[in-house]
Amino acid sequence: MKVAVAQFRSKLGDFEANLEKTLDFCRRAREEGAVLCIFPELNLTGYNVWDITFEVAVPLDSPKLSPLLEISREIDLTVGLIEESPEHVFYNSALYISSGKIKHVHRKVYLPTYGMFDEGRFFGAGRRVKAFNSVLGKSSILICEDLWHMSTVYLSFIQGTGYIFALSASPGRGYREEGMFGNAEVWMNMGEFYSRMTGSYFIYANRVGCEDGFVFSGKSFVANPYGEIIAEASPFEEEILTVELNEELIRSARANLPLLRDEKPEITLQNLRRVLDEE
Amino acid sequence: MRSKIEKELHIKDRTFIEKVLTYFIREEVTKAGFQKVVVGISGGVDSALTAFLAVKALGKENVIGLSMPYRTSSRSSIEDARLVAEVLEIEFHEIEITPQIDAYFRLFPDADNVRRGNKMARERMSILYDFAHWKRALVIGTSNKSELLIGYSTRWGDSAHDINPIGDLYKTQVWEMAEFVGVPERIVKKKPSADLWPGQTDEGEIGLSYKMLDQILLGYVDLRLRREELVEIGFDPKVVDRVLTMVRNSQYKRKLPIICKIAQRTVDKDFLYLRDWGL
Repeated sequence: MKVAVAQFRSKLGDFEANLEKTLDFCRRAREEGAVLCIFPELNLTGYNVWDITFEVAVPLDSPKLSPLLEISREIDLTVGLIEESPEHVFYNSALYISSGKIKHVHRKVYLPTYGMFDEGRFFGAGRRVKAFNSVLGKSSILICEDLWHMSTVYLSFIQGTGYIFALSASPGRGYREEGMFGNAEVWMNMGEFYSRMTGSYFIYANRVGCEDGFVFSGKSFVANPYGEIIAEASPFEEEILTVELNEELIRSARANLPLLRDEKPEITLQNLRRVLDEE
Repeated sequence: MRSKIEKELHIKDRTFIEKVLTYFIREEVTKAGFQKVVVGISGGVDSALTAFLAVKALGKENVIGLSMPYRTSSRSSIEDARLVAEVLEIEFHEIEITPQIDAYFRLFPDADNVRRGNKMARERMSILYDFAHWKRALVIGTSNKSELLIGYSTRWGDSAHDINPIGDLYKTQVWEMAEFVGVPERIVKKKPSADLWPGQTDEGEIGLSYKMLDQILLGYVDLRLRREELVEIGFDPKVVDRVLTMVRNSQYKRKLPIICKIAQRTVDKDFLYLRDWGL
């Protein structure tokens, strides 16, 4: 099955313009034979939304999302937006949409609030990491900072995820690498490591473009369950990366390296309880 | 740690960083609805690098260079400014600011060098913004990270501009990049000077070399080392104190005016939107 990774430039705070382009990317991905198109974090709003949060947030039953539900009859998609809960908490969320329905919602658990990041000031934090069935198979969505916490990947792993969707809007920094920003290289290292350790596909969708001098670092990629990067995008340009994924390769990797079979989540749990109790 | 600092100061892949800086210029200029920039060309390396980057980003037909000498400006500054414009084949204007500066200081014949230098820097800013309006262009700034951090600039003078591609490059990195993009060698190699009065040099005024200054700044700012740690790894405590004092005392130069808060939301405090809002 072919998956499309949409390396995307958002217009900051312009939901309608970003929606139009999202639909256009989906159509192009469909033409290239993809069954699923994965967009970066907050692609429908832009990343540094700050006080725009309260102007562009949408409840999940909003008619504004209808065009996305519509197009999901032709191709599945994962998009990033600001979700307003019925209680009016605002989440940095990603939706999996398929056959006219929102099938899964992931609310970003770890909101970076340090250095150049200020998410905790505007967003509520999610509390669940839950695998779900995408068109590809058992999958998990994680958003940017989530992936810097090994626990979210571990939780995906023990639920049997074969496809990790890593959505990000990573501002470039670090000038000590070749051909990419330092953070882009860290993402690639992470993708190689996590995909091998979980025997999963790691699908990284990142932003490009510029918001007040934050230059997003691009370099979206797909790593296979053997920890090999099989496709990567450019550092600056919008593009659709269409990649053929093979379920058999997950089987092959896990037969050779049966880490999931041998994992003992109950030991992790017992030890976590003990550590927390001892505090 | 000293060797880490020295290593960190070098830009490894200059081709990539050149691409980042030109991408930034192109994105931020065109998103804001402009095609052109005006740049004040002094004959020094900062403005030369900026002009070279602007031409690479926007094309020579979209960059307007202004040289604005005063009667005491050195011959070599004026000639080197011309050289930059000639090499780049850009629209170039030489506008002498002597009449208006001298007219003003006839009222204050005893004014010191700093008053005169500040007045000149603000006059140049005023001309750049007049041209920006006339030519429908943005003013591109030429302040490097070293001078921004120690406040070696005139408030609302050279520090006033619309976008700045080199503001995250230390002076020693400006030299590296300038050489790399092809700034004429005699400009890269000459002693840096604001040329606000005859015989002025940056390093003379600041009281230490840029090499030393940049190492201390990188340690303090980028690596967040504390004063004691900087001294421990071998920097002269007097020099460290001098640099840290310059950083602290110039914070006001890096900020917009402060507003007295009386309402729920206040423009400079909790009315938080990027400038690229909607772009």
